[in-house]
Amino acid sequence: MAPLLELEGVARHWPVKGGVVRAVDGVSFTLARGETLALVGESGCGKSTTARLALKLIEPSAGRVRIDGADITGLSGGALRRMRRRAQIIFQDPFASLNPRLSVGEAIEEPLIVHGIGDKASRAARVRELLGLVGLAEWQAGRFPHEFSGGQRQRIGIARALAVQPELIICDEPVSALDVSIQAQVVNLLKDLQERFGLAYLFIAHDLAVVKHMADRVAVMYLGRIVEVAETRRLFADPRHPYTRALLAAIPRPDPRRRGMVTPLGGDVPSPLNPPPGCRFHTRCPLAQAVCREVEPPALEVAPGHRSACHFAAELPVVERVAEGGLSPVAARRLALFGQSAPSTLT
Amino acid sequence: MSGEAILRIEGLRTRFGAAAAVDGVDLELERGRTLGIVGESGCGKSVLSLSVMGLVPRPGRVAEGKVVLEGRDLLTLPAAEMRRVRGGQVAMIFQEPMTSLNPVHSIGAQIVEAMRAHEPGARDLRGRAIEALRRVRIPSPERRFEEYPHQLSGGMRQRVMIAMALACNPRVLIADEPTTALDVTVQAQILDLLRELQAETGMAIILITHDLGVVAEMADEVAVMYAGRVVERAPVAAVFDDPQHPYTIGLLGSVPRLDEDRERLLAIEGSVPPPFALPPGCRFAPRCPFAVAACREGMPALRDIGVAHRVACIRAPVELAA
Repeated sequence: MAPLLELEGVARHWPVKGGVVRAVDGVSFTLARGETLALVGESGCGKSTTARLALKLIEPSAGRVRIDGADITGLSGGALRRMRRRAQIIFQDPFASLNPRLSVGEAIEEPLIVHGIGDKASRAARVRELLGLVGLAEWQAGRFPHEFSGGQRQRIGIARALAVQPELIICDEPVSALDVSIQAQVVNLLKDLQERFGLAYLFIAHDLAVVKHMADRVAVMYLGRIVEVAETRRLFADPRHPYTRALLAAIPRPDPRRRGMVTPLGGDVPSPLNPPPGCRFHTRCPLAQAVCREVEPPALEVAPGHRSACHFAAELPVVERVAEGGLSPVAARRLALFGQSAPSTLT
Repeated sequence: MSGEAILRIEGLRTRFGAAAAVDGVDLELERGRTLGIVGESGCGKSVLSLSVMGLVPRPGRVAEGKVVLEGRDLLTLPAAEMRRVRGGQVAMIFQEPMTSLNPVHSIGAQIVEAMRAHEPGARDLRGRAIEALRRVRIPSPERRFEEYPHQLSGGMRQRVMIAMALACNPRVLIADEPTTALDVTVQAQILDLLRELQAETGMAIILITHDLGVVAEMADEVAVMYAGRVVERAPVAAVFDDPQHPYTIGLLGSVPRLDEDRERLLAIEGSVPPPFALPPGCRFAPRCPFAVAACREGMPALRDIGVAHRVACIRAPVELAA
């Protein structure tokens, strides 16, 4: 069976004064039904552009996007609309993506109208059902976006995406703008909905801890290219690209015993207007050799399903299994108690 | 607290009309130490720092309390005197350096302007500004001096802000989410820089952040804020190993970790109440799984529960309450 989503050599180049910005420069991956693939990387790596290319919200300069084996790059009009019924998107800032003049009920109903689904009564029933699915109350259908908190607005964005019963939801930094306690609510909701409806997620994020929690597989992007892709557990246990290693080493852990173990990566991401020759990471790579400055590394398979675009992918030393403390027994016990106790019903 | 406090905040209450965004906060900060202030949007952590700086926007005002810096209560200083303190003894950096920098002046001119404001007669300001840029490890500072904010990356801009803040050798640096807008590899560079500069100068840092990883990396002491009040105060290790307040416990559980696998995150139900609609009694009670009727009746005071460890919860420690 064809994968649900497949990108093959997809590129997006923006002509600008003085050259071409290669925002996405030859990206290939597949996403299976019910699977979560995370695209991670720092600002400017092209992950959000890739998300938009996957839905044909922007036109690729090169390459193919297939949904269920069918090329969508040439679609327009009704055929494009039918494709989008299968694949929806939610954004980082749900407030910016909601029309302030539409009530929440109208906003959730809108995709049903666009796709010609149901009559007025059945749509109203569906809106009530969707509100319940995302943890909002039916009476809130008449309220307007400004009356909701950030977390609730993201729930509205999720309800809108779910309305047309898609198989795939592209989540573009869906929790980055939310406070941590709210972030946890939305992450849990996305996982519940996935289990319930067999959704596939293309999950765009920069927070690797969230990604580790959400994703089945992870693709790491740098300057418009995927530099490493692997099953999540593998990627975190045995990263085979120096950039992935640098990202992991830069994350401050919520554990004071690990203080000072953060290793910053030097320099800044180079301009995508003029990416370095050879391996694009060589200007910041602590292990770069002469060959890295000249020859672009191919994506080598280092293990089944694990590919790394580094000349030395197979030779990198094993990552030291830094004794990762985790929570103290006292803290772990209190967290468990917090989770078990039913939320207070006192009023 | 062993050493002597360089900054002491006592009973600080900052009101916007009838609503108190900061509602009775006591904190102290020692020389060369970092106090992490943790909380989510709306907990009052940014209003607290603006109160210390005398920068609370209208119609807000500091209604009560003291902010004592090296023996002087800043809240009683005349405006001209406070201007000298601000940027002089106490400096501040913000989350988004681009909005704090003037886009039409070179960064050099902006650093010189800040220096001139505090030392009207000073000489060789250009040389000192270049030195300030070098101090924050900006490569080729002579060239960068002439450049404009848009020519710099986000990390470089934050370095410029730090250079400007440190130009007059402040005793206290307030850093309000200084790395939140930065990529993780650049964040690590800026945190390293702040630590090195602190070791060089002995300045005290108030680090405001929502990121528990940044707190674990940087803070010596931690204050957890919720709805305008400090709910827990402890040395950094105790906050992570022995979290006492249910809100602190909930925060720790909300964060996905690289060092463990959990099927579900611990979500704290509901959201932070706004300062104009606070619940009676403990403000966390409506979201607290351990709350009992008594929690709704009176505001819990901070009480000692361990070495330098204070918590504002009548149910702590929760394993005895459950």
